[in-house]
Amino acid sequence: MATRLVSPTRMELTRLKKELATAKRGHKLLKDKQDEMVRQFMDLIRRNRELRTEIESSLLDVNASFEYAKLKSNNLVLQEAIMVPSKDIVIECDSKSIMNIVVPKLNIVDSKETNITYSFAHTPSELDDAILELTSLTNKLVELAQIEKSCDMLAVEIEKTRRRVNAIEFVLIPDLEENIHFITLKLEDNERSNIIRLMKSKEIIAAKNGY
Amino acid sequence: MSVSIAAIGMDDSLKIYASVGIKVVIVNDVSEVDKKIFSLSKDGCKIIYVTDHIYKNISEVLEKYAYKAYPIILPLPLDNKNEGIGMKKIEANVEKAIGINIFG
Repeated sequence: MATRLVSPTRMELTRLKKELATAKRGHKLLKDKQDEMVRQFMDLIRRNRELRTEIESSLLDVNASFEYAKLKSNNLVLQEAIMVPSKDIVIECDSKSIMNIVVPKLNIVDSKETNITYSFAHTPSELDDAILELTSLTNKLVELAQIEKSCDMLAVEIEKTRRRVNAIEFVLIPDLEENIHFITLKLEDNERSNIIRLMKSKEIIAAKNGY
Repeated sequence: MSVSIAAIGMDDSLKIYASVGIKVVIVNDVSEVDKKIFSLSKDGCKIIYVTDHIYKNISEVLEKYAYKAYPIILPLPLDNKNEGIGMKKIEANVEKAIGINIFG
């Protein structure tokens, strides 16, 4: 135990008391940080779940429509039709800080209308459905990317902070308190020995001098 | 700064995503994904969607980019095969953060 390693002096006792006060303050701060991160995480994860459920079901529809289109039309015609994008996604990327964690911040700049770039004569209507549905999903796809990455990073940071909080609460603070207790006892013991020694010396001197 | 979005998959059903300006990358083997992600990231690609099948086989690559804000690598059922990786990831995150899966 750390108790064995400390030197029982008043200087060490003062140092340990200061360290204990700092540890308690640090623990409170980290605990507050953890609580705030969990609060923000819960908001983000709910939105993340909503978006993912919505996007996953829409993507399955898009894929199903595209499969129908592939069955109805020639592969080369389809490839030619989707070669030129009907909409260009331009996003601005930045970063923001959530409780000192740098998370991505994305913003779609381009909000131009969708222009179907192929002739309708040789392509099936399912392709139009797929493309229009996919186009309407683009904003959500970008939002999902931003939110999911933020959630990933927050979850890792919350786990780290929780470990730190627990280490301070259950290891550092009890160790410091135990050391302080040990030094206090040792100092009191020394003081008692000193008094007894003085009393004994006094008795011996008194006996010698015949008082 | 303008950046692009990419989608990585293993069959040509992904080509539909090219119609909305997403760069489609088709790989023959999962081992190629690491290099593709590296080159896409070098070209300024900030969001990379991968299929569920690829996502569950590239844990080392994901580890490499986990602590960076960009590129964002996300699993999506791009090729009509939804293995539920995305939802499992959300549940794992909740469990990691609060110690219990409240959505389960």
